[in-house]
Amino acid sequence: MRLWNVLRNEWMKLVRRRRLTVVAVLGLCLVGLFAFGEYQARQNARNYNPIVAQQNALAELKKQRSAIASEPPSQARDQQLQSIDAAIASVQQQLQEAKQQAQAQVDWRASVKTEMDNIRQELAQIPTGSAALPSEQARRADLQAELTLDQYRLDHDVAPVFRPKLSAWEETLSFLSVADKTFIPLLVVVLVGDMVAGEMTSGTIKLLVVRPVRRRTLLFGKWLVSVAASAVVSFVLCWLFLLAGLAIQGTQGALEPHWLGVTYQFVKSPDDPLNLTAIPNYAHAYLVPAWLCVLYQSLLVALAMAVVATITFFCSTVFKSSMVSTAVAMGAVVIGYVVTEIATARGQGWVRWLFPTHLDLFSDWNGDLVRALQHPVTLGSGILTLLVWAAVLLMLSFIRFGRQDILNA
Amino acid sequence: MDVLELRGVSKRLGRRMVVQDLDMTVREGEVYGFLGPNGAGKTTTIRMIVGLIRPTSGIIRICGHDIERNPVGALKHVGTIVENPEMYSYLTGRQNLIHYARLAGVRDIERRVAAVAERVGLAQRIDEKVKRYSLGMRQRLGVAQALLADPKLLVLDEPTNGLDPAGMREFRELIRRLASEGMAVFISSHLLAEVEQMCDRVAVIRDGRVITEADVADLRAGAGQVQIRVSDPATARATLLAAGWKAEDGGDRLRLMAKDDEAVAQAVRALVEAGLDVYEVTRAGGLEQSFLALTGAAQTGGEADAVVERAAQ
Repeated sequence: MRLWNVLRNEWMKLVRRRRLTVVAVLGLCLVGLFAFGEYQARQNARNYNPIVAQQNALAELKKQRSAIASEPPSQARDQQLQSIDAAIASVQQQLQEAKQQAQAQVDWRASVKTEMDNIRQELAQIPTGSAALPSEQARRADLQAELTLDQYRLDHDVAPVFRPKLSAWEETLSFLSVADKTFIPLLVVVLVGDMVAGEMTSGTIKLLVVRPVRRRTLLFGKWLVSVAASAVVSFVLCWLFLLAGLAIQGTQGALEPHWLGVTYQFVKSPDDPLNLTAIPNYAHAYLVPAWLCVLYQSLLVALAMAVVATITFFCSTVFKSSMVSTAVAMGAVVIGYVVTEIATARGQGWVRWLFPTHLDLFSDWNGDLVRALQHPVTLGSGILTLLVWAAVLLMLSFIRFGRQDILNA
Repeated sequence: MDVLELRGVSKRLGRRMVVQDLDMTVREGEVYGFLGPNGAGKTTTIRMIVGLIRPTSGIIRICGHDIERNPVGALKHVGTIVENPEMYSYLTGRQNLIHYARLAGVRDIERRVAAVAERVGLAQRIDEKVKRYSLGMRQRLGVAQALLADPKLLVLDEPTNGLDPAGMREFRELIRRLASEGMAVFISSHLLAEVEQMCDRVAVIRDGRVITEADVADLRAGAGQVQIRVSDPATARATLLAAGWKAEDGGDRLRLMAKDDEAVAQAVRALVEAGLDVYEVTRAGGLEQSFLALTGAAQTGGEADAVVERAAQ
């Protein structure tokens, strides 16, 4: 009953503080920015006709060739002619592909079937069993996954999205995979950075703590409200991005299948001794339509942001100034992002114990993170890492707040 | 009944003992003044009483509940203003009161909020945001939130800071009225005049220790005293008693009540006519003087200001 009253109070304060307005405005700015980017992408895709572009390029190359051919013969001239001929051949190839793709838009089933036949042919040439090199095993697994995906298209009647059309679902997914490590955590920090520190700064903590309510109840209520508000705000934001994308790109691509739950094995292949070869394992992987991916993604973002809120909340109980606590939490997010991006790109395994690595939990799930990190990470281990961070810091917050002498607030 | 009880309370911050070995009791219906210069440990003591700071040693009980062992039970009976009553400036006065009422366990919140707002004279502007309030209105709101739970003990830290004279008078009257209703009030102050006008009993704190405790009525009774040094105190006393004065023996001096110059002149004339030599006649100098005498700082003169900052207003 007391906790319920604390929750009502904290909610009342949260929605009336200026910080919520700031977060709302910043969030809408982000959505606007995303929408503008999507609009630009759509215009570019529309203006770009691959067939016309390749034809223009071809004409230009042929003009150059005839200019060079009219020069007096020499060894240099012959070399130039050779390279231009190669370029012409490659453009002709691309033109051919563009025409095929245009054809595929008319009958995508036929083109998918042709592709599947090609894959099967290639598979037949790759050796199986223990004789295969790791790189061959990897290629084999990828081809088989592609085959499964194509079969899924045929079975579920899912046409690919062809340019100039773009899929708002894909665009949202790829935007979120960056935003959930950068913009959205910063919004969360702004939202909850002063939950406790703000009351310390303004002095209102005094009249709060002298009530017949346990300090831990007060803190728990504040934490629950911080976490709930952060999760709700980030979830809503994800769907605002999606809505903006849908408004601009249209709804096509909702059923586009995505692989989730792909795992990798990293081995040294004799044909590439300098690098580790990633052999994908699709044994426990499954195909999920894009709309469901966006739903999962936004739920995972909400979960990750609840953890960011907890970390920020910890800063807020440790530092008495709301400016300092907000700054420290922001620093943790920004520096954490930079450090983990660099270390991930270098395949340094220790970053999988840091929270910023797992803020985009969706990449833990679809295998992107493992592939970059070259160390075993699953959705489960990612969530567990985040929860351990949250639990430890929350415990420290309680110890700190429960014992603290409120001297000069 | 003892509403507030401090037993051997000390607080160490770093290496410094901010407060040492405090023993105090505040009874029902009593206004208890806690007087001392700034930095003497008043605020630390108050913060310990309301559970903002843990004492290093000693026990604080409110209505019998140990503040450390049973903070919820103890704080149920407390209303307080610690230094400035900071409120949520982005909320209205009413929202602030509702906020605190929810935590204080008030039953009929709406009615209670309206009642305390009425009591402190804020009913008209209770729905305005606190950031639009004047300092005086904020103080009233502070009092209102302290009264919300109908506490048995009201703990106020320098409550009249920033009030104008009219506001102070109003505040004094409110405190006296609350005390007459049976509430115990613990007020800290660095102003003797304020304590004198509001309190029944007063403790003086200096350098973290209570150096004296007295009834304000006794101190006031001491005001208007005249001290006379004569050649033969015993005879002089008999002479004055015979003449109808209430003279008390005070070592080599006589103490007697003489409200004005006329009375002093009469007493001296009576002594001279009886053939006694009068060496010195001094006025005790009102409450402040008797107070300084009590705290033992009167002799050093210059230190007097350090003990009690004079009523500046």
